[in-house]
Amino acid sequence: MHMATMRTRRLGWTIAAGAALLSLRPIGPFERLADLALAPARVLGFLGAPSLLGGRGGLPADAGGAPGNLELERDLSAQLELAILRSAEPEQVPWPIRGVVPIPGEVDVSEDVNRDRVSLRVSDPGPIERGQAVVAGDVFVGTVEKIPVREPYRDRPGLLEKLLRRAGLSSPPVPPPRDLVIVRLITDPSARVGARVEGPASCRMVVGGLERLEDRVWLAVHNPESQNIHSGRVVVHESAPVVDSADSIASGFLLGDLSETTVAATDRTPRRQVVGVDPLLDFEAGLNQVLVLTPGRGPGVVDPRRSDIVGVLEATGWRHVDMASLGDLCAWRSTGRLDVGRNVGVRAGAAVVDGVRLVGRVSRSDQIGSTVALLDDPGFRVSALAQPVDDPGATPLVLGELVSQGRSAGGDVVLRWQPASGSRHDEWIQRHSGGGDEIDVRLWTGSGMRRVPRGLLLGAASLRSLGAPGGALLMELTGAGDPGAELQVRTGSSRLARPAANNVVYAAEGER
Amino acid sequence: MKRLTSLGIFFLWVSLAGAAQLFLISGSGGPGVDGPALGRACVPDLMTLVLVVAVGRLDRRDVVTLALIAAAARAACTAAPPFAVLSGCLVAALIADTIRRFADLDRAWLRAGAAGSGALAIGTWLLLVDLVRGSEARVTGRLSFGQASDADFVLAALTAAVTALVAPLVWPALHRLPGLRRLERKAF
Repeated sequence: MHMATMRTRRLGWTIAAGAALLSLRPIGPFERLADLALAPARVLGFLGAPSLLGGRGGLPADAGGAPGNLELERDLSAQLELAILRSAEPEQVPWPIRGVVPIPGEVDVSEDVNRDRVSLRVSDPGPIERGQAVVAGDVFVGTVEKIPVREPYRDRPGLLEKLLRRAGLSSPPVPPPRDLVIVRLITDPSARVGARVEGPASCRMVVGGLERLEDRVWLAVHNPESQNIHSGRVVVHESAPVVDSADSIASGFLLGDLSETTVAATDRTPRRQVVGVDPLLDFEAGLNQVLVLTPGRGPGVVDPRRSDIVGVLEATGWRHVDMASLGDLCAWRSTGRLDVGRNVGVRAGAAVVDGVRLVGRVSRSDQIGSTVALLDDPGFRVSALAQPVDDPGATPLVLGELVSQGRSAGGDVVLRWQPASGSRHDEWIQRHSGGGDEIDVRLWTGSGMRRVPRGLLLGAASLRSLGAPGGALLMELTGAGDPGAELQVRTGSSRLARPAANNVVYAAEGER
Repeated sequence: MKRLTSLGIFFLWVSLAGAAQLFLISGSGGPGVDGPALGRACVPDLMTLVLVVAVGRLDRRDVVTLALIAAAARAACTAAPPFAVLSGCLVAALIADTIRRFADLDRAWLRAGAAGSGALAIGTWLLLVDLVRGSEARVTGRLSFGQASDADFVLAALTAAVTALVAPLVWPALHRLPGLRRLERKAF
């Protein structure tokens, strides 16, 4: 064989092997280099425009019995936001607490390597200190671990990093936002909080970390005062005179229900009895609005009003975009391509909307365009809330994570929902359906997804009671966003809504 | 300069093939809960077909260049990582080149084999990358999209089979794509 051809073949296999390694173990600077190198090649992206003919729908479908117009949906989204802000305050726990100022915060990002931490965007970071308790409604969530803006800021780039920055392929880390707070959840292995079982035979214990079972996840119980109590509601119990802890002001907040089960023997472990706390929250995908309990004198309750709500589309950082093409050469994916990318600040994870309806999320962005994973892309995950179609002001049900299964034979997007083990959806459905076990709901995006604001409409679906834990429900979504419509992409990451500072009611002294 | 122009024209042809493929795909039923996206999988892999035909026609020293160009065009039409697309295109081109090394791609079954194996290599490789990245993301909690499953290998195989069937039919037309004469091998 000709030597030059031999060399070419060898070069080809070498490049193929290198590229294969880089595709399985992605390295940031190389990925950016590839994006940069491919930018000129993507100018012909407009050639894919005819593919839009297959995806362009007509008028937006009706999402739940009401006329499908933008103004109405914006109003519904604002009502949802108001209901969420109100739901952050306790109902069962005595409230307000004397000497406690609650600082509202929205869960910003829970998609991260460490699932036992969440970041919050709070309305007023001033009085917040490390170790302060964080609650969601009646439930204790965890404690403040870090306030990044107060941490020493270090940027010591190495030689390679310096070169990359000079070439424009990397940029210095962005200082953390002022209102960012990191919370260590009670699910963290090192988290501990004093607790007791409510009832006549009170039993004290320590709760923290997880007890993983086959079909559910409980909070782990340590050092229970008695081994004979296996049921009852568990609440935080750390009396201030005994323990000088910020958790003590969260005394009385709920942790969950004490439960017991038998774990069958395996090859490595014998049959055993496990006692744990069945949590009242889905800590992984069910956190939305929380309160940081700070000691001090000041406003004791948060009373958000309709006029304080910033509409989901009025918040900063939306940009009109056009879909350049629809479809993916991989038959198992459903994606589209936008005509803008990093050049205008579009980043991976950003929401793409048709009005207030979520169409998809940016899965990858380059210099001149971005790829969007559509709602019907199998595996598309979204944190969701449900609200009755007939009662848009009701406290929403936190569903947690929904996973797209693609489309049904009828063309509707199908989402799979598996309730968390502590889900109280049965009670919620019964309350809002007048005792029935099925209800028509609108599904909305919840908090905790990077660059996806809370309060985007997913569509309408029928929600029914699942009974025993471990079951899953496939929901057919009507009125989902149309990727062929006029679209907007989120380029900002600022907080969505914030109650005005002058809109708080001061705690009544001696309430508790 | 003329050579560069020819390579540019090749890029245009591959991009047009990608656009046609996207158009056909968007008109077919997507992946769904009632079954895999068989309709989409029945669309032949036109981009790979153009690449394989070009490898069969043009100078063998240009195999890598052609694969790089095809990868650049393909990366704009898929959510798959660019490096995965690059390695897939290179492997497809090198498979076709290997077949050509032993026999000219002048028979229908050879053409079908070259195109089919190229499409199968790209399809299975991209699916494998999706599976690996997806399972890693589930463990680490990193942002990821797509949920390929083992059953999707059927889709890759189906696309490869359709591509193989179509290859002998469209080969003569693709073999005469204008603007590539400068890249053809010299006759001795």
